[in-house]
Amino acid sequence: MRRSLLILLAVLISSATIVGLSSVVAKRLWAHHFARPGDDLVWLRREFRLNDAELQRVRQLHEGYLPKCRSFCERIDARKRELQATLTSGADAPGAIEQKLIEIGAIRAQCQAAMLQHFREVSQVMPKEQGRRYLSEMQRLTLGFHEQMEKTMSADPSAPHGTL
Amino acid sequence: MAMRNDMQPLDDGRLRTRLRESRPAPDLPPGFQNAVWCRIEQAEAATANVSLEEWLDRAVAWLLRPRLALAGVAAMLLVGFSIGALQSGSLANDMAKQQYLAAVSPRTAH
Repeated sequence: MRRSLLILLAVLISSATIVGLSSVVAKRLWAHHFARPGDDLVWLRREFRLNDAELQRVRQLHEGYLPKCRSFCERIDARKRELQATLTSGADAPGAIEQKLIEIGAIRAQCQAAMLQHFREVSQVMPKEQGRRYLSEMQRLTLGFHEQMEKTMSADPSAPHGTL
Repeated sequence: MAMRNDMQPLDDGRLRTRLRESRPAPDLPPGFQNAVWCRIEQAEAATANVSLEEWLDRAVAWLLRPRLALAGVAAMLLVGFSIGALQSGSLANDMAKQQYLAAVSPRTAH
């Protein structure tokens, strides 16, 4: 009786493990298949129900925007490396550090402005209601990220930022 | 003539009455019926326990037959793959969304 119960328990545990593992593997495989890693615009087409002509226009805008975005990222990375070099050189140059920080901030602002402009252009290609939803969603996901970070910092009383 | 009358076949009712009269049943001791029912219930309970054990042993032996075990593993895999396929939609959507965000806004995607 006890042996049979143990065997039955082992069978149940093995079954649950097989089901669990195979579902995780299948979920990943199917998700990779549906997400199509080579195409950045799969989500846009599905989420905002774009037809072929709209998708084609969005693709043109997307491909035109990517080099600009990459250029901003490279410029920010270059300034950050320079800032790091200034910081690690040990030279007492607060003016130089401040200058680098200002430059990084300026490029970030230009990058965000270009990004917002791109979102506006893409939203205008979409049907009106979908375009409005896209713009709102993208602003929430990109600019909202920074706002959330700032709010978190100002909510912390030990944080150096005030709520001015 | 009288002999001939005595030899006449008795009908069923009279035969039963005569048989009952010829074998008088002894009086049952007090609580006899309760005792009988108790013993019957105990015997049934014992039979039920034995049958559960037997059933479990038989079920385990049946489950461990190679052909059935293989079929069971295949069925579990099928169930798992089906569940995974059903759940993959939302994960695929999240992955595609992250991919788009990573392309248009690399510094906020992660």
